[in-house]
This record gives sequence, C-alpha cells and structure tokens, in this order.
Amino acid sequence: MIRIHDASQNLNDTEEYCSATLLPDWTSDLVGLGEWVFDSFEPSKRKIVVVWLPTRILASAFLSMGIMVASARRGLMPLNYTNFLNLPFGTKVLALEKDNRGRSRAVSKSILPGRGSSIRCLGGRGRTCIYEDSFPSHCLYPYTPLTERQQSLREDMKNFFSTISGREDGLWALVSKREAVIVTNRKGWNGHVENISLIYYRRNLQQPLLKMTELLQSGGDVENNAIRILLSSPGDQQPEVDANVPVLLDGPDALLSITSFHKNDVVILLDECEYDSATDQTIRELLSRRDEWVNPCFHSQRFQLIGCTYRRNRD
Amino acid sequence: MISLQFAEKLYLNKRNFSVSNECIRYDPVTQFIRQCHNLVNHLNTPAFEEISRAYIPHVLHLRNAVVHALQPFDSNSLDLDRLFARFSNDLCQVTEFPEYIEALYNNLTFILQNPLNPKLNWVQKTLEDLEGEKSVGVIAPSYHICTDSWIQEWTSILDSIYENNNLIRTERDIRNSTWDILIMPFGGKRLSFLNHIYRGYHSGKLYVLYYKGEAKAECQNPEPIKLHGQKVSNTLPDPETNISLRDISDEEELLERMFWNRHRETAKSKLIDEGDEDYFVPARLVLLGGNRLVYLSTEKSELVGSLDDAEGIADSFCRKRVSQLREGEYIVLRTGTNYDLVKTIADEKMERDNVKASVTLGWKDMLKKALNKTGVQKFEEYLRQNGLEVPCPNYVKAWTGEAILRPGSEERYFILLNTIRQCGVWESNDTVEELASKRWKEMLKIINYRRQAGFDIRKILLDKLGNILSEATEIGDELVVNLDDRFPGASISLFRIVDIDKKDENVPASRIDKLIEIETES
Repeated sequence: MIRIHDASQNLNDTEEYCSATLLPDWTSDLVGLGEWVFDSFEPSKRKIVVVWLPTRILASAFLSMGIMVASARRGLMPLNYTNFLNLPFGTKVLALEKDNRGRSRAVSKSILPGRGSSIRCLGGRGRTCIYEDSFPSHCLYPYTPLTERQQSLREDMKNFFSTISGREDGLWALVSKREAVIVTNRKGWNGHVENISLIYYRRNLQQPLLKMTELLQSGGDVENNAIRILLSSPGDQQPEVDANVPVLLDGPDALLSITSFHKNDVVILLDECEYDSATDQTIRELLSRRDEWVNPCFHSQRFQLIGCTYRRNRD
Repeated sequence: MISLQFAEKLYLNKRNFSVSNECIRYDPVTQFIRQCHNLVNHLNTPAFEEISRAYIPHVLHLRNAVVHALQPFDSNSLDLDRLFARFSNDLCQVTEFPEYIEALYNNLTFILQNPLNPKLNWVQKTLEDLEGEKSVGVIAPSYHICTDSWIQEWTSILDSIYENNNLIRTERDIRNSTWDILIMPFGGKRLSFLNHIYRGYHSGKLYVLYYKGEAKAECQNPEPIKLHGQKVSNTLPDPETNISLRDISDEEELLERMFWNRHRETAKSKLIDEGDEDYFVPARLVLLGGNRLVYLSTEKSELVGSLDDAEGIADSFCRKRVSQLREGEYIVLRTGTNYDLVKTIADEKMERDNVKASVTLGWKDMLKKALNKTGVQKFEEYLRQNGLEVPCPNYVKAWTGEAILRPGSEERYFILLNTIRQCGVWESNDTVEELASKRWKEMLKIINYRRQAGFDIRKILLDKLGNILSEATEIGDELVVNLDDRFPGASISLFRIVDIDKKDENVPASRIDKLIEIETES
C-alpha cells in the first residue's frame, strides 16, 4: 500500500515513517484512472476524456502517477530493427546481457558503423556486430545517459514503481521516456505537490520516503530528457510529443490548448464549479464529433467521467 | 500537504453536501416585493419608455436593499428613506403612479417602524445553537447591491453573535477555503460566484435564506454534462442582437440588462461602423477600469492574467475565452500605432523563411472576383445551396481579408472553393479537391507562424511585466508596455476588468478590440 506524508515537517526517519498515513480513496481512484488511460491506448483511436471533479487540486499529479504505474507495469518495448537502423551513429542504447552467473544486466553501448547499410556494430566493452538475422537475439532499448544525481533519483523511483507494478526488472526506469504532459498553472501545481511525499509500505519492506515531484520526475524544461511528466502552462507554446503520450489539460484555461495536441489522447480535468457555457460548448463540440463513446472499465463514485474516441490523425 | 487536506475536505463535503432552503414568511417584505414588481411592470411599458430607464433601477435598488438586508431595517447603512425618495417624489407627479407610491410608502413605513429583521433573527438563532464549534461562512450580496458601510455593519453584527465566522464577498474569498456551514442570507440569483457555492463544495451544508416572493437561484442539482450513452446536443445558443426589456420578467436581470444596454448604446454612438463592408461577429462588451469599454470577440481567446507577483507572472498570464474572464483580472490589448503586430512579426519571419503567403492566399483574390461578379447576397445563396451556412451574407467578406484566414474546417473550405469555381472565376490549374487540400495545409503553416509571433510577443510582455512588478510599481486601471525597438510604434496595454456582459451580441467586426471612452457615472 502507498502511504503519504507531509514533507514540510522536519522529522527524523522513524517519525516520518510513523507519521505517514494511507492515501485517501479519491487519490487511489485518480491513480486508477491514470492506469486506465495508459492501458487503453490504441494506435488507431484517439481518446478524449472529460472528468468533472469536486476539485482539480492534485488530480493531474495522481492521475499521472497512475500513468507511470501502468507504464512501469508494461515495462519497456525493445527497439525494432528499422528503428535501430535509423538511429544515428554514436547513439547510446541499453543492451540486456547475461553475466557469468546467468543473471540479466543492462549495459550501455554506442552504435557504431558496420559493413554496409544494414549492419551496425555496438561499441562498449567488446564490440558486437548486429545483422538483421541476429537482431532478435539482442534486447536493445533506447537510452539517454543521466547525470549522477539523476541516476540516484531514478534508482529510488525505480524501486517505488517496480514494487507497485510488480515488475522487478526496473529497465523501464533506466530509460528516458516522456510519460505525460500536464498543461496547468505550473506555479500553482508545484505549490500543491511540493510538500507531498510518498512511501510504499509492505511488511518487512521499508523504502525511503520520496517527494512526489521527484517520483514523477516532473518539470517544465522541454529539452530535459530526464523529465517524465512535462509541465506546460496554458499560455506557452505547447511541446510536440509523440502520439502515445497522454496529455492532461488541467482546467478550462488549459482546455484552449487542445488544438496543439491533435494526435494525443487527452484527459480534460475540470472542477464542477468551473462549469460555464463556453467550456460546456467546447466539450459538446468535441464529443459531438466522436466516432464512438469510450466505455472505461473504470468507475468512481467520486467524479463524473465522459469520453469518446476519434480515428487517430483525423483533424 | 495542506493542499491534500484541502482537497480531502472538498471530496468529503461533496459526499455529504446538502442544501437547506429556508423560506422566511414575513408578509410586509413579501408585499413590498410584490408592490415593487407591479411598479416596475407598469413603468416597463411603451408609454413610459422615457422615464422607465431613469426610475426602474432606483425602484429595484430599494427592493434589493430590503430583501438583501441582514441588519435592522432602520439601519443607517441601509438608508431606505433616501432610496425611496430617489424615485417617489418624481413618480408622484405622474398620474398613473401615486397609488403605487402610496402603497409602497405605507409598507415601507411599517417595515421601518418594526425594524427587527427576520433574516437576522434566523441567523442569530442558528449560530447560537452551534456553540462556536463549527466554522461558518456568510455570503454577502454583490457589490452593486451592498455598500462598504453595509459590510462593516454585517461584520460587526456577525462578530457579536458568533466568533468563528467569515464574510464572503468575492470568488477569491471562497476559492481557497472551506467551512462547516455556509449561509447565503438571500436568494442568490445573479450572484457571480454562485457556482462555487453550489458546486464548489466549500462546505458540507448550505443554508439559503429567502423571503416568500424573493427570486431564488436554482442551482441545486449540478449535472453539467449528460453521462455517456445519452445524446449530447451540439447546438449553439444564438447571440442576442436586440433585447427588448419588456420581455424580461426577472427584475435582477432587468436591472443588469438596463446597465448593459446603456453601455451598448454608448459604444454604438462612439464607434463608426464600416457600413456595407462590415460583417457581424458574436462579441461581449467588457467594462474596463478608467471608464472604458471594449467589445471582445467570443470566437477568439484573449490573453489575460492576474498581477499578483513577479515570480509567477508567466503562469498567471494565459489565454482565456471571453466568457471566462473575471472581474479584477487584467486583459492585454494591443495599443499604439502598430496595431496588427502579430501579422507584422509573422510576415517578417515568413519572408525570412521564404514562405510565400501571397501564393497560399491567392484564392482570396478569386473569392473577391466571385463576389464582384455575383454580389454578396447571391454568393451566400450559392454557398447555402452547397451546404455552407454563414451568420450573415456579409460574413463572406471576412474571408477576403487576413483577419480570418480560412473557414473553420477543410470541408467548409472545399465548399467555398467549389462555389468560387461555380461562379466561373477559377484561375488555377488544380482541381478544387487538389487546391483545397494543398492550400489548407499551407494555411496551417501561416497559422503556426502567427501563433509563434503571438508567443514571441507574450514573452517580451512577460519579461517587461516581470521587471515592472519586481520594482513594486503599483498597477491601477491601466499599464502601457512599450515593446522592443524593433517594433516601432508598437505597445500593448493591460486593462483591469471591472465587469463583463453575460450575454453575447452580434456586432460589426470593425468594433472588436476598439477602446471606447465613456463618461464617468455619477
């Protein structure tokens, strides 16, 4: 179970541990919603989901945590041969190798030119040439080297999500991946999240308390590959992200950014008291152009949810 | 963690939320409401069109003072005698009205001679029963109803009855707090932050106090969007072009409409329309600090923000729909001589990148030729026959300029080009399908250049504002920010929003974004 703790209190380790309380039910519902958003991704269908909540405070943070849990559970998709060939020389990849005792370990390698256009070599400790026929036997993953500080943070995050997701290999955490974009008032968002720490609690397993911002690896720097949950303000030029990265529009101001994300799954979060005719009209227009309604196998008593799908890449 | 506890409280309040409607049966006030209603109805007839504009607001102000008061009726802060005198002496001179005035006078005299306010009685009894354990928020009426002296009196009365209370005057007061109990000692119709009271879950219990006969807000069962499986309609409400006051039965609304109609007339008299060349767009009138008005198009979003501190300025300035503007926020409008700044910057960039906007927008020349050949009316008829509806025939002219770059969808654009071809002015070697597909994509590029230009301007603005705010310069109704030297003559100004019309109006496009100076109200 996940416990939550007030990081603004200056306590020692034991006191911190004891003062951590269970996550409230509504946060669990939001984590569950995030998991569903990730798991229900379909390459051919684009989802638009509107969620009316008693309050948007912390909603996008817990929802993105759910996305990360689901992403950790799914693990990492290895590179396919075509993508591998398209990577420029010098790119780092992560290769899964067996050590002397037969245990898997991830090793960083660089792509080097091989003989001909369809052969590449991997540099690093030892040099391995990779042909199309031999490619399936190599487990290669996209990889961006991190600084020491980033690595240490990522190690804690890896342990947290590996334990929750039940996927122990932790490869997912080693690779830089954009998990979600949140369009929100960044200052307000950070203000709400900054004093929250989480801990995964199980008998005989004591993990360190982690600040939620570090756990989500959230930030607003588009260029920083280490950021998993990218924060963007409604007034900013919105970042370009892959179609498989869900976008959370936090509030009516963020709703105006929807045109910048015409390929992505979008979750629109609204306070019930933010209902007004313009927001209502925008949502009705979005839903009226649907191909079909979404039928989430996820239900909560705590918020209203409505959603639909479009064919992806349709304007 | 405070945010987590706050959110937790809101979720809990939602689960337990209940509204208790407490109808106060006090005949003198109920009768007084009815008498005011009858008088207003009589004034709001064609025969009294001239005087109704002057006196209806006064009658309604008196009625609102009686209905919304929590203090004793003979309180100096209410000053009911003065409010009555503002219309009674004059209307007594008009043959039809002495009877109405006399009835009102008798009732008002009774109310003043028996000043114990039944709403105050109810509040006193309820709060005393709580024994100080629960936090209570009491909602004050809108600014246009109560004065500062009212608020002072309410504060001292409430503090003397119950210590653990807060008076709530604005959306800002309620937004970040919770109470065990909220009391709204009036019907709440047309209160600007009513959504927060009924759907914000700032308390688990809401008491609404209203006299029999008093207009009451109906907002108890929020269900903004039907759940899936049910039909979601896609109809646009028609913007109003001309509201007849006589069609308005709700007096609060009447008062508000009179206020905005007066401003609409001022705006109309001060702006010169472009006559036949103009087309209509839905817009809202916004009252700005320093006695200015401006029409903002509801089809677009505006850059607005709140000026709280220099550090968070980038986050507090964003684009908002006009309907979501709130009083107290600052709106950014282009001023100075270089008016169309976004286009200027975008054009410069496109020229540098060798993007030929003139080729992309060449179809606009064909449209002009088609309009010259057939006339606007006939062209609009052809469009309609082909399945494209426009708000008015002149709207087609909007597409000949660059303010509206292209129709809303590729299908509409295809119909437009097809209609141009039908008019026999087609000058392209491509088919309609080919040209529509090609130009549609190219126009997206131009839109992206303009969007980028908008972001560039915003960045310059925010940098400059950040500097101004860090120097602790006080910002009042208006702040002019001159842009960089590379944009000579270009400036943008921030204006404080005082009030926003709640209804859209179809106005000539030439009126949009033009500042209108108005006389100071006495």
